[in-house]
Amino acid sequence: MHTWIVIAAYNEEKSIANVLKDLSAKGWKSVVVVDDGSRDKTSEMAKKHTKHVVRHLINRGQGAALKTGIQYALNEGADIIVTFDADGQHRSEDIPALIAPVQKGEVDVALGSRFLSSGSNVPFIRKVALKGGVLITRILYGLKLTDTHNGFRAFSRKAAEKIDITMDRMEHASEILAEIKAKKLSYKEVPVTIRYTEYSLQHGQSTWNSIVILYRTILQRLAK
Amino acid sequence: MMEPVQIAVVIAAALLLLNICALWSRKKMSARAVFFWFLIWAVIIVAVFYPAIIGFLMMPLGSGKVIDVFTYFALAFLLFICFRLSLKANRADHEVTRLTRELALKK
Repeated sequence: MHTWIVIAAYNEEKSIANVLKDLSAKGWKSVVVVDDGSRDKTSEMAKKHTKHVVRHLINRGQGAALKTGIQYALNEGADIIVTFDADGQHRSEDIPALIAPVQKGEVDVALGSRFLSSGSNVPFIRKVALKGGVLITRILYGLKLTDTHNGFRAFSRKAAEKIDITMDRMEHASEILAEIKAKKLSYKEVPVTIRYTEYSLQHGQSTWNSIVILYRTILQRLAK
Repeated sequence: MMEPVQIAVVIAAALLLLNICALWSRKKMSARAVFFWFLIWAVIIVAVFYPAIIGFLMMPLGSGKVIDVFTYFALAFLLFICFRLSLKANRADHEVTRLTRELALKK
């Protein structure tokens, strides 16, 4: 089965090369980087390590970039699509375990969970915000998950074709869960380790942003 | 003899409607939108010249003062405009994303 890794990157010139080198070293050759209108040399750095680099002329947000990457992978004939962060938070070692249930046909979507693994050193405030997201997701969508805003996921081709990401920014994480529920896709959480480094914390979502995302998620749900 | 407020409203309406006509002739505004704005300004002009009519029409609403009724309608109108603008902005945002994606995938 042909697995594609989709990476949405925005101003990640410092980390993207290492992420791609690591993936390549582990044998993941089908990797597409979507440079989401970066103002730095993300595209140039990425092109040194993969021939699959597409660039948004202007910044449209992570949700939009992932959708572009997923479309690219589907066009290339992907059977499984993994979404992977550009800031080095995700570990390539976790990919085989993440895609295993999709490969075996057990589920349509595998969702990474940092709370099922003991290796993630989640900062306290972040943990509170993430657990708030878990609670809201349970109330709004009825999905019982332990980690709802983890960008490390694996989709079968069928799931990737069915899930329609319309939210351009960070709300796409909640939208994907809503789509899983609405399209009646089977899913499973898989333990993954998230590496919190000074760099990834600077580049990732701030706690305030998490609250804004939560607020928008509720609005989005109420508007439907 | 026209009062200063009536003169001001007529001038404002004339300028705005001229602008709207110019946009329409350049096909930058739909006939429906032109009709909508003409209607709005027609109501405003009637209200300014014949406030008694508006006061009479609004009596069932329970407000005796024309200015109160104007305030309610102005607020409702502004909310409606905000709503329409947010819908349009949202639609335009999605179109920009779609275009950006098409361009990215074409290269």
